[in-house]
Amino acid sequence: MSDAPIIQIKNVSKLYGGTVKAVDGVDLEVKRGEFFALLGPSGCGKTTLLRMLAGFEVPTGGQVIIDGQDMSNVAPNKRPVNMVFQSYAVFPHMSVEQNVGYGLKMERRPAREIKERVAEALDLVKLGHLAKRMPDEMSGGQRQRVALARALVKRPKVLLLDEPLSALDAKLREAMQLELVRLQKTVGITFVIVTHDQSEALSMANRIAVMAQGKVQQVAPPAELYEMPANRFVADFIGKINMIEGDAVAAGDGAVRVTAPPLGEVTLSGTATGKVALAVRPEKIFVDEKEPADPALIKVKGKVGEVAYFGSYSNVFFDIGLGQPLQADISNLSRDIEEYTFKAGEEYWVYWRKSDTLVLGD
Amino acid sequence: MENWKSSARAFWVSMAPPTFWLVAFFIIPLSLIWLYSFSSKTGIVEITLDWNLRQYARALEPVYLGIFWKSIWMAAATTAICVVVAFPVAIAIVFSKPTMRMWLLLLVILPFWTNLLIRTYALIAVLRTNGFINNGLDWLVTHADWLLSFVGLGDNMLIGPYRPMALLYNNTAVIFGLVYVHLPFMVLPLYAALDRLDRSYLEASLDLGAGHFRTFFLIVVPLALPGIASGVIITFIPAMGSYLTPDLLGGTDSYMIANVIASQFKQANNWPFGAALSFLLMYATFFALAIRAVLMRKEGRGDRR
Repeated sequence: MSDAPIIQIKNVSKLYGGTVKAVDGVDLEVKRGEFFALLGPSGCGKTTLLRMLAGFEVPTGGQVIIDGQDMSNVAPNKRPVNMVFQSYAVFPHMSVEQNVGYGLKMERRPAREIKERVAEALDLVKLGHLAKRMPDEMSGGQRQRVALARALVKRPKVLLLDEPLSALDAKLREAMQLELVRLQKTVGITFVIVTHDQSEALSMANRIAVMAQGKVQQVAPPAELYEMPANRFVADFIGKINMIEGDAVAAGDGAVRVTAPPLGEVTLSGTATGKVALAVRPEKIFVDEKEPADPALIKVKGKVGEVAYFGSYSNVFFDIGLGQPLQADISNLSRDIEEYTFKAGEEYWVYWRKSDTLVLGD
Repeated sequence: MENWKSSARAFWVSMAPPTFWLVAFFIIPLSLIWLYSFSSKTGIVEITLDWNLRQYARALEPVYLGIFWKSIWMAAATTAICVVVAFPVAIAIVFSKPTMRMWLLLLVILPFWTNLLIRTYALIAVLRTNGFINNGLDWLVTHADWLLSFVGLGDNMLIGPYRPMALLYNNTAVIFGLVYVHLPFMVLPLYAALDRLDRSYLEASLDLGAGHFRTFFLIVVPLALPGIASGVIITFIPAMGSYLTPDLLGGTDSYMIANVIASQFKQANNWPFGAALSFLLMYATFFALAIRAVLMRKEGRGDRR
């Protein structure tokens, strides 16, 4: 039983007004105790999917199963999940204590148990000293902790978080990311977070589902998502990537031969054929004044264009005779300023490993 | 942008008409009435200002206090019924589709486009002995009896004959009429308050295990309290000063304070006493507003963000 996924989403769709497909035939499984992220641009259906888990939206088709129980006819107030809202929705007419105790009062728990569990939950989010405060006397970050405590105190099987960090400033957001991961480890509850911020998803989640236009594009752990994106959308959405258009034909043994004008003909491992993109991440690109000899490299001559200096690395754009420049992140590995200064117009050999190159179909 | 207050001429040009209007048609008449209330009637049309308190003393006699009390009671009943009726209406409007919402709001406002007198006569047509309600029920009973005659239970053996109910010319008719007239005043502020309410509060309450019933009483009502207070005040005050509705729909014992005031100015030709009663009504109104101000200040603490 404990090996069974805590959430099973089976072919779930949501249509608005009979035609607009907000969620389009999604299949997903979330494992017990996982920190799972739904990532995608706005309007991709991730929030609708989360609201269907909470019960605020009814799927047009398909099935949502939580902990082995079909949720089709279960009202939001009867589901074993709790939600942290984007706006926090901390009740303004109740003190912190009353807010956190609300859910337990609804369960008609004895007053003593409520008191103990509220104190425990407030300590968990480090708000023990503010129990008597009213929400309007608190900062946004503190109100968010109240919302967290209020949901966690119910000991849900799954905690749903709808863009929980989007209203916080950058510094607080970073601290809160670490805090959420710590919290999830402490309580051991499955977290499902919705976010449009890829760095947030990458740094917090065990697994991420990337969504676009109502469909799941890829489900994978962060590193796999970054290094082995399933398609152009995922590659482009997660991090920075260079894409060079080309044509691919099968070359046997799980390899394809790609013809891409400035690079010539290269044989790479991959399966996609026809119109493809050769994709390489900027930090996997090296530069040299001399032509590299290693046959395991893809190389091209490039002229320095724009340069952006970031301290630990420089973001250099090379013109390689394509419409868009090739982006390379060059780490500043020594204190030799001369060596790591790029001037516009200078010519270099730009190269990267064949094994670092992805062949992406549509 | 230039501050209009800094230009004295612009200030006076723009402020003079409303100031004149207020002074000529509000402050002066009101002051006259105030002076009347301290005067004595010395002839059929003569009134002498002698700064006596006899009119007020008379206004506080049990007969008139009873009518005051009755007015307050009827207005309170009207307000209470309005809250109970208007809340579901306002909720229905807030949760309807945006296109539908406009039409529903229009339906609420529509009665304002018709004269109160005409609407009240329409109510009389509905409520009187041969009105729509009594005739409609009579029709139902007669036809039910006719249907029962097929199974041998006709000729009023089981039901009927229908005896018309006395729906008009009593306190119930007055309260019915007052509720009908004042309902929009309650629906609109409630609608405004509920419309402002962030839906995620309701969802959070459901999410935390509360049903719709507890969500309504623990979340919706407290958060809509400013709107409820506004609705109560703008329903209660005009309801208490109602003249036409009790006059047309009420019976002999349905007199409210405005009817007494009117009769003092008209039939009894006792302006000083009518003036004193008017001012007592106004003081009662001020008192109601003061209570609201205190309540709103209390509310204000929780409402600031």
